[in-house]
Amino acid sequence: MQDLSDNELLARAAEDPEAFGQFYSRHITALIGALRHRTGSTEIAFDLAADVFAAALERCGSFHSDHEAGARGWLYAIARNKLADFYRAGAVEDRARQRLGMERVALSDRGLEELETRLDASASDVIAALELLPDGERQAVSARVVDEQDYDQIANRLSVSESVVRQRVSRGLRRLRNTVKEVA
Amino acid sequence: MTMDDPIEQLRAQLVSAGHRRLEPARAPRQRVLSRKWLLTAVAALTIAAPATAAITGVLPTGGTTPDGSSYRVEQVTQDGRACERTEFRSSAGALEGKVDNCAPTAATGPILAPKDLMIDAFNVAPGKTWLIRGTISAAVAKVVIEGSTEPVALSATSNERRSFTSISTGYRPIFRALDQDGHEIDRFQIFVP
Repeated sequence: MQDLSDNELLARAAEDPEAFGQFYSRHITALIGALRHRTGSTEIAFDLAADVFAAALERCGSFHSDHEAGARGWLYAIARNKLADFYRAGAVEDRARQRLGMERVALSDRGLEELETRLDASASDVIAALELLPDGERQAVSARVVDEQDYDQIANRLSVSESVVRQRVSRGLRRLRNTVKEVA
Repeated sequence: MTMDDPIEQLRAQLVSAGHRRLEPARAPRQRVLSRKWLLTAVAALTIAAPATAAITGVLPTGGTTPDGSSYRVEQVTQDGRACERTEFRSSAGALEGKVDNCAPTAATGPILAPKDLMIDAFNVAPGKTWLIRGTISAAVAKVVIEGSTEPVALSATSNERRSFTSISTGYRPIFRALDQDGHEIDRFQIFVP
């Protein structure tokens, strides 16, 4: 199972809960880190991540291994929606977790400390924070900063003007910088 | 794994929940099923072309759920092809949704719809392009396709019902109907083999 890709794991998950467990292990730390960047709270981030994976477990039966966004993109699409719900409601809505009959995992002081140590050691959470930007900003920042594409190339691909691309890159980077600064 | 490792605790819960979800699929046919499991189980099935009522033997032919709603599976023959039609009704008898693989075009998968969103027509072209038309109640403010950034366009046909048409190419698009507060009104899936 270690050799299976994320897409393969998720495609099996509806019938093999251990495959879902493997998928979870690969992505949980980065996801909590990304959510911590956006919410500023490790505890809120953990609760959100719990409901994201509960929702993913509920829906994994509909995932196909050739999904356009890939398993990771699919997971972070759920995370973006959960984050939007959180901002709207002002609290973590954990309907998916409750529907699965899962108890809330309460964070003890020791557990919180262990979690934060793991998050601080992880280099992937900043990259994961990129996944939680609004779609337009994420696409623009990924293309410009990660893929090093020119503005006109990006504009053509996204079917928007170059000035719109520049705005999205600027806003996206500012948002990333602010969230990283808040956590620090 | 330490007792205080919340990440491992959550993992164990998810795997356990996953195992529990599989258990109803092995339950005997006479068992009263929850509607939610039934919708999930039906949505997970693949129907190959031509439709040969592949879900026979998996779905019970009918029954009631703990919330009082009922479902009925009808074996039908259309244009010489055997297919199945399943209807879900509320405890008051109102039609809440249906699964219908009797479409005369290329094979289609299960189509489930919550009561606030009715599917009027569904078509699958050989290239797996799907076209769907339906109507929604006033409770539905927005219809979105999971993974997409744009909501499905809605047009008003009356003060209470609006229509939508959507066409795209791809596997298993999942529609989400949202109310005014952005809360989901019962998910459903369009399943394209």
